Amino acid sequence: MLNDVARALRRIESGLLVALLLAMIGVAVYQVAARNLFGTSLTWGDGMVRVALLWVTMIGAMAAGPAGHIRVDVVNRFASERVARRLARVTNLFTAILCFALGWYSMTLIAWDYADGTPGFGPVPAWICELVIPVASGVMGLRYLIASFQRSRQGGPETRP
Amino acid sequence: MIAALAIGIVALALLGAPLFAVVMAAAMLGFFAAGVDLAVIPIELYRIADTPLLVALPFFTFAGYVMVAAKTSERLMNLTRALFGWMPSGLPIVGFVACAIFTALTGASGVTIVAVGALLLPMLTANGYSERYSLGLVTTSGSLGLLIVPSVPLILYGIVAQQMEVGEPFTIQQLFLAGLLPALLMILMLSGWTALRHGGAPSTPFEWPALREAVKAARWELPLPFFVLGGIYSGLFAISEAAAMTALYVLVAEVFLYKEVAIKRLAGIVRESMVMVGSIILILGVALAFTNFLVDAEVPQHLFEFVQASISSPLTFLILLNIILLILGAVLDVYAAVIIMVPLLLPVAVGYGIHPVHLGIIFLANLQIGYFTPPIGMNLFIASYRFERPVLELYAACLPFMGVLLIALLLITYVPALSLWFL
Repeated sequence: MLNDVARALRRIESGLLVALLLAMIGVAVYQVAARNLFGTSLTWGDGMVRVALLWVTMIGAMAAGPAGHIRVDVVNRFASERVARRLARVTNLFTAILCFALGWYSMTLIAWDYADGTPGFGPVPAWICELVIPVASGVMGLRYLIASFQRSRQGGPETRP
Repeated sequence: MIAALAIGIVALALLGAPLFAVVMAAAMLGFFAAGVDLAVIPIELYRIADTPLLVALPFFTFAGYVMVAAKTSERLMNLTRALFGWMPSGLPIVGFVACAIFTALTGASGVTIVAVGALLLPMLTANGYSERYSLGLVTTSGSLGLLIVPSVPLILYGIVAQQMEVGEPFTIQQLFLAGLLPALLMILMLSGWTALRHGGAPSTPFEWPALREAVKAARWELPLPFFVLGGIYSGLFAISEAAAMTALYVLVAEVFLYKEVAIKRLAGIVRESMVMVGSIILILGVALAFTNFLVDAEVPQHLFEFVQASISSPLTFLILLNIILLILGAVLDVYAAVIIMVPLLLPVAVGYGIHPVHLGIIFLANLQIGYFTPPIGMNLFIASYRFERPVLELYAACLPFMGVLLIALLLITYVPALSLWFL
């Protein structure tokens, strides 16, 4: 059951990342072509690409999973298996708390921008652009919380790609 | 209480907590102590969507990952071999050049060791170079090229430094130009040292047919550097747009022209590359908040006064800077090091009269060496894993290369003209 949810979530993440990146490439290239060929470009184009970058960042960070984030890998590399696992529990719990805090305060920001009607890009208001922050940080917080209960050693892969 | 929490955060960082969480905790603690509403953190994070240059990162990174998935490294090796293989000690020179170009294209993520190094190592040993020398070459060259356009760490340094608005204003184009001579110097010194030490014979005679063959094989990739750089320097497109064109071009070339990357694999490649981009930019986003707190609290200014109280000459400062950065480069990922340390060090360096562009080159040249500095430079572990050798053997293999590159580093640090000749 939990595995099904995890798999579905993984597919949604990948789908969103592909869609966002392709849209960013498409719009950015269109902007260059249109500006140099027709002398005009989409007024909302650049804004859309930049907001898409925020979404790619948050969803990419979420897709990285608890083990995939950049960290100082000094103690962990030389620690014994048992010590490393205990450390992972502590650091994962710490990270979960911070993710939840980010989610919480981003809700405040969204409420403010909703009330003020702050513009985002084109016709889209800022609060919609910001929605990705609480959603992604909430999911990240949950994943780190779950990881803090699991018996796993922290630390990413040896090479990144 | 605040001090105890701050110490706790530093301890968690050393124990391996993700850096985005560490930096965010530090920012929250700072703003909390200053009585600022913590909604400032997401507000600063949202500035990611306000920094046009940042858009270049996902595009270049994605293009790099697609090239890793294709056989670009093989074509690059063949081409550099046809071009430089005839020189004395030709094969190592081919190795340096190919590694530098591949790292510039893909970022210093260790992938060069896997993609180019794995092709290079058996060739080197087959041509009579000692095992130790060959291992040292592929391990240390995995981060060579950090200074060559369009290296992502270079762009990232530009973004972070420009945010600070201290010292002489500069453009990313200037930063790109500044990296060229120092990178060339490193390659030349490594090649010269190799030729002196090994008196190496040429590996392959120069032959037009071989070159023609290699150029023909690389025909879809060869136009890329010209059209990207041409676009940027002619002003036809901005850097983020050049990055988008690169991503599209590479995608079309590898998927439809070379047909080496199946469409089915693209989702995985997008995911992998965007995970990397996401984890870097998330740290940047929370670091923007932290930097703001630091500037409000006048920390860089106090740091400068503190440093200047004991160090009066820029020369001494630069030596100290080199030592600090070498250690940092060994411990921290290059992206994290740039994001976290530049806001602290740039104002101090500017106080000593160092140009921000020059500092950027010094910074990355140090981090490049830090990548294979014992005991924990990342390249050492990647090479150990990939080539199945004990890390201790690699420490020894890398030392002579490190010596040569340290001399290059000193030249780069103390001869600013190498980086700033065009200003």
